[in-house]
Amino acid sequence: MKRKSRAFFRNPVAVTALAILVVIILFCILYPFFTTIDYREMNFEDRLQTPSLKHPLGTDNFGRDLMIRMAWGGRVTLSVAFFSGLIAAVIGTVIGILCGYAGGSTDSVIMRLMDVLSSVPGLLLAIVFEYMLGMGRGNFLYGIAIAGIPPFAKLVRAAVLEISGSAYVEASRALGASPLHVIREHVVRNALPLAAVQATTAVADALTTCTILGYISISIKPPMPEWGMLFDNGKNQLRILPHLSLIPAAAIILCIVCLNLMGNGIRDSLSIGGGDA
Amino acid sequence: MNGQDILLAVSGLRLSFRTPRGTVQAVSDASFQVRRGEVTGIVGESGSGKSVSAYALLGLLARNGTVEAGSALFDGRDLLSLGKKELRKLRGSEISMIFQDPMTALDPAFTIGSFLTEVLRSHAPTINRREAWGRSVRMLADMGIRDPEDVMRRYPDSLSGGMCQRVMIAAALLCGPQLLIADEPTTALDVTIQEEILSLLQRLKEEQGMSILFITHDFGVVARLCDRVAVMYGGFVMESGSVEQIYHSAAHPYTQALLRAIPRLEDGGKELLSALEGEPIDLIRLPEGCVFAPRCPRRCEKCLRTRPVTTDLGDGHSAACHRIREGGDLHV
Amino acid sequence: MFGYFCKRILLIIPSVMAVILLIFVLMSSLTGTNTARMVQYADDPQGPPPRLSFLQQYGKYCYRVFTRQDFGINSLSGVPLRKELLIRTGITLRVTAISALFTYLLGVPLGVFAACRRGRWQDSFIISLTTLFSSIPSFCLSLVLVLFFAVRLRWIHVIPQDPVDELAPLFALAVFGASNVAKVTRAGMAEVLDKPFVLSLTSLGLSRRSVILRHALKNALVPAFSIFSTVCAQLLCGSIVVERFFNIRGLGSTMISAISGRGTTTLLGCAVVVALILSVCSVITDLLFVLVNPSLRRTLSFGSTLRRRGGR
Repeated sequence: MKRKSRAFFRNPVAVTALAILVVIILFCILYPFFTTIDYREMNFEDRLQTPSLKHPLGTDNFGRDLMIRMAWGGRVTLSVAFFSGLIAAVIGTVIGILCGYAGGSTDSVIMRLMDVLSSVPGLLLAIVFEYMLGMGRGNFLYGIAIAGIPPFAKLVRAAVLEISGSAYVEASRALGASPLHVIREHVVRNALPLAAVQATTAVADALTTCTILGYISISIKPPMPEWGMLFDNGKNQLRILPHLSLIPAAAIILCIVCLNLMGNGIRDSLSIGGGDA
Repeated sequence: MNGQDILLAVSGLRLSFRTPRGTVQAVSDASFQVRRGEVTGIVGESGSGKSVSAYALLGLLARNGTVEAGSALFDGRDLLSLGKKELRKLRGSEISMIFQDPMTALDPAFTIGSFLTEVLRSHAPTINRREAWGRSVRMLADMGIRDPEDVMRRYPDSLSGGMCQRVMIAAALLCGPQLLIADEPTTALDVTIQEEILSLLQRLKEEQGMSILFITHDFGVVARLCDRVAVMYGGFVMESGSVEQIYHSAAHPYTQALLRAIPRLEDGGKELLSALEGEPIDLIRLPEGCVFAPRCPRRCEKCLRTRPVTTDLGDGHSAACHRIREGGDLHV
Repeated sequence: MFGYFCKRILLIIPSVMAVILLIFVLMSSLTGTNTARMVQYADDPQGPPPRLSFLQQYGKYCYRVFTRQDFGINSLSGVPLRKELLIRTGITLRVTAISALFTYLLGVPLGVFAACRRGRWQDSFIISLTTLFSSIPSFCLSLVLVLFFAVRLRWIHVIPQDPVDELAPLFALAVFGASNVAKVTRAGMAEVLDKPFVLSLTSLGLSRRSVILRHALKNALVPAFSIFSTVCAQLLCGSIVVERFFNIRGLGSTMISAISGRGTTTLLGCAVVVALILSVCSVITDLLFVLVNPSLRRTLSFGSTLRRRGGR
């Protein structure tokens, strides 16, 4: 494990991607504490301004400062992305372990369910959840999370199946180790790298879906911003102030690219020597 | 070397591969011949360079491989200096090759019929479909396939290994080549099927005067089918001659060791299998002297320092060794 | 095999019905929608909803949808949904179908080219390109395209005036899918080119072009087609966004307005259409599979996981 992390950190592209992501996250979390402007504040004298000292990224057509709205929007977008990724990872892992150990009809039924689930696009599932559970309150998060479960379930289950037949697990069991211990030691170690790669993909997908929802206005209630929503808001000013849409778009693309590059980095560090177990 | 017509004469072949670990000198010096109507066998262990020598003849080396030196005279032309277009015309129509694993050598997405007709039409574009079909069916029947029309309509995954190999041979012979190169064609098959394929090849030689370059690691197969043999090790030809000469008067210690290693029933299974000492050769760092010297029971100082030259032992028999004349038995 | 496809086509109806049932259940339990109202007769929209049990409502709805394509009335406008849905679906389908074509026309050659030049700079270049483009959500791409071509270069207009303008949304949709197709095709092709039969075909004198285009491609198209369903699903989602951006009145925008306007009947109708389209896509995927590699016909079975191999 340590060897693999070292391999990852030696990869300049992946490390840069991680650094950029961390910077963006820190900005979103910390910036609101360092400015006096409120994200809801509308200032009609100052509307549609180009970047200046007072408004580092300019203002939108309601006079709202773009920079602070980007920070808050980032909080929403990124937390939705990371939380749904986390939920998908946890639930998916549990399901995978269950299926792998249970086997038989339980396994087949649940896996068929996973297959059906994976054929439904995450966007549609999120829209369904948003509509059914009440709009504007962030319920789409559950839809995104659930759509992200099948890949995790499949790969953890595969790891469990691969491990349960192997000799060293039998040896562990013979020495009296409990199934939980076996899981912790062997399954996790085997599945973790692949799950990590899948996690970056899941978060990237969640980010995309979240911003698309924001774009089509099926997201949280305004005035709380979200990057997709900001993109939508700026769409009408494309000719005069393209940066109103470009900045959110750039942020979105940057985050997704960084996540993908990190995922590639993790995948590459898997094949470079350092394999334990 | 006189009398019979020499169809293929390879001389001084030298080729290498660029790998991340270094340059692999797969073949350092290989010379062998195939005469018309005869079967020449190339024997050696994996890594001896026997297969790649054959690949080089048809320009089938992988992208990281280079032919560094040598000539391969076939019918007056040097194969190693031919351009891509000429090589393509030659493949399949004048020289054909069959490979080790017949089941993976056929494209699973096409029927046998479309495969065979395609081979025919790529060399004779004017031929019409019906005639191509007819010729393919007849060739399959010649190869001993019992229901050729049915096989033509099948996909490779529904055929057995032996059938696939017959189909491959049929495809190789469709355009009437003069030389057939067989790269370990029986290694992946069951023993009984092996025998069938070998009989088929023998029939080709006897009835149609086909010349065959037969690559194998199995000395037993060599005895069954070949007229002449070249023994390779580490990219060099250690010894070459007629089958009788090799079997009864092997001059090179490597050949002798190989022959000794063949288990024999007559001894009642009491004799221990003889094995060579030492480790397999590293083709990236070839030794200065004879490549076999580190493992040779008869090595001396000279062997470790200088490469032996191929000595002519008369009557088409030659060996590359410093220790031939100096005593030691010439008999197995 | 013909029987297999007949069975698959017949199965579409039950699967769409299952989707309808699911939505009925969700709607009545979660949102408290009066499902009876959704099933009202067109000739008495103002009257009280008929007293039918849940299953009767469901049955009636399915019957009317499948026999008369009667989806009810648009609760906002009072106009029968049938015509509106048909037209809008037609528009979306046209866009999606052409995009799917573009996706493969763009992605497959790229993937083949990259595989043939693997290890060289063209390959690395194409790999980085596809990685980049598969990260960009379709709406961001639409923005960049519009910004560049419409605003800066003034080659096209945002509101379509010539046929060229229609290309922009198609292209925006297709690029995302094309990167995925290119990635998968390249991987499949690279794998095939290393296979022994490529060597043996070459040794028999077949031209390199024939070997690649006829033999290798056929085998490499299998993974490319296995993601056809996924590509279609992504295109459908993408079309929701693109329709909004380019002001195309298709299925996607209908769904959006239904959601914000609480037009439940419309939403249900859209859901049925989407389920239908996706089911047909999955049958088409199997069809493509068999076309490309007939020897795979034997592995086809109900619930075949071949389709799923493409992943997300």
